[in-house]
Amino acid sequence: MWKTLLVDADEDHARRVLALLHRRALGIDLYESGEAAVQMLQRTRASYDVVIINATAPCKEVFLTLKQLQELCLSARFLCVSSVNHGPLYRLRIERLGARFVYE
Amino acid sequence: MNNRDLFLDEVDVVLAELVSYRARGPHLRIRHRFQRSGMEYCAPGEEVLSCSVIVRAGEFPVRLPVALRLVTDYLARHQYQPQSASQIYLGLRTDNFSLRHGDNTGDRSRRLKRKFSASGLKEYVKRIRKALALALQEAGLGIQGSEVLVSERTVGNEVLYSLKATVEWQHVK
Repeated sequence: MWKTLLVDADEDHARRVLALLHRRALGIDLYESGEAAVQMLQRTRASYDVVIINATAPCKEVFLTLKQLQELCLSARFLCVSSVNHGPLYRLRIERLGARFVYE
Repeated sequence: MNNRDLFLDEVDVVLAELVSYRARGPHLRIRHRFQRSGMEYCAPGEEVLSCSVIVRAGEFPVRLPVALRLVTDYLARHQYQPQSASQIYLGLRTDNFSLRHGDNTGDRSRRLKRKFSASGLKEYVKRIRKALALALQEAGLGIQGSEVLVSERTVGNEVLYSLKATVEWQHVK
């Protein structure tokens, strides 16, 4: 089972993502903010295989969270998901940080 | 395909990547140049031009100087035969590809040739790992250099090195 960290401040969205991923072999830990996830990782030194971040809100916080989580989860693959199309530059900026980006 | 399918498809690709990287390591592309016309395979006289990590459509250079490119190429050609530093040294000393590195340019000077020492190879291993780590980090893979240039302990003091990666060679003009 792949250990997965889901960072999602939107409760409804998180529920939807969890429902979608129901049939995948993922053990998912949900955190409501990047800050909480970062604190947990700093405290527990836990490792994850996949990190999914809700990047719907186009703010600096998404990039900061992504960078911090990448430093703490060295062997994880990162996937940012957004319900809103923020244009190609937003997507490129995330992908340049080494994360995948997909609309949901 | 609706957005939900796209999302699940992307998750599946990420999981497939994880399985692939854990089992076989990342994908490396080694470029050779100065291939003789009519040759279909690598042959002595060519130059190891570059080494890159390939992640999906992206290519991320592993920034290596000549000596380390030669060691990486040698390890890639012998990746299923882990070797100690001494074995790599002896292999490179007698390896025709390394001895004639870049000869097809017509320049017989030592510009593209390097001498190796058994003791220096351990330092080379460290440097290759560092360069690999930087390229892998740039690619967003989060794989350590030591997970690609792997060390295996023997029952004695000897340590064996091998490359855990899929490798393709490309010839360019």
